[in-house]
Amino acid sequence: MYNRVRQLRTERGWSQAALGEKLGVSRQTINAIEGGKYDPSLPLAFDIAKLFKLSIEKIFDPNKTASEE
Amino acid sequence: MAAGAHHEQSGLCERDRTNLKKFSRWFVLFALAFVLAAIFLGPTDGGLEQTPPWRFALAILPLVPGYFAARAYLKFLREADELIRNVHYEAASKSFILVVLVGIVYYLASQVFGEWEDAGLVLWAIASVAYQINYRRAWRRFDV
Repeated sequence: MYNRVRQLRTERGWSQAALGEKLGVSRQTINAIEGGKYDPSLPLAFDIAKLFKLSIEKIFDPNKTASEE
Repeated sequence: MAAGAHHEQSGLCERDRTNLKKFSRWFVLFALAFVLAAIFLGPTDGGLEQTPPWRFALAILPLVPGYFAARAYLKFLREADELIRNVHYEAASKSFILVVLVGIVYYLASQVFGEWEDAGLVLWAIASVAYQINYRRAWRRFDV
């Protein structure tokens, strides 16, 4: 699933580890989400949306794959 | 959500490491109890009636640390970071499927070649190796 997590994170100047710490997950989880290798759970997707102050649909697009980015 | 900072390489937080240490301790005790039981429970000469009660107790002894090891492992899985949990689920389910398949083949092959002893130990070894291999493969697949 396509997502804008990497873009939103870099806009804020955060490292993957820093974003992971804010969300309570590992750097590996952030890396896998950004790479489109792993789709986050619903609670984590909500936490990401809340952190970036956007709706889930603005961050995740199930109709696009990560390679279509 | 997992608690505390996660280690850069392993992705484990302090709580995960504590859970894994607890699991390791119980698993070592389980292995020791298993080896002790295997050593002291030689083949019995008499029937079930002549078997002393301590043999039954010794036979089920590994279940106690085994239960606590399983509980600690499940606690680790429940509380771990969701990607790490996913990786472990994948490793556990793949090695379980492999052990079931090998167990079936092992049973059928023993009908052909005669009784093979210690099937449990062989399957245990296969499960451990398969778990490690599938764990590493899952990590690689998630590109971390």
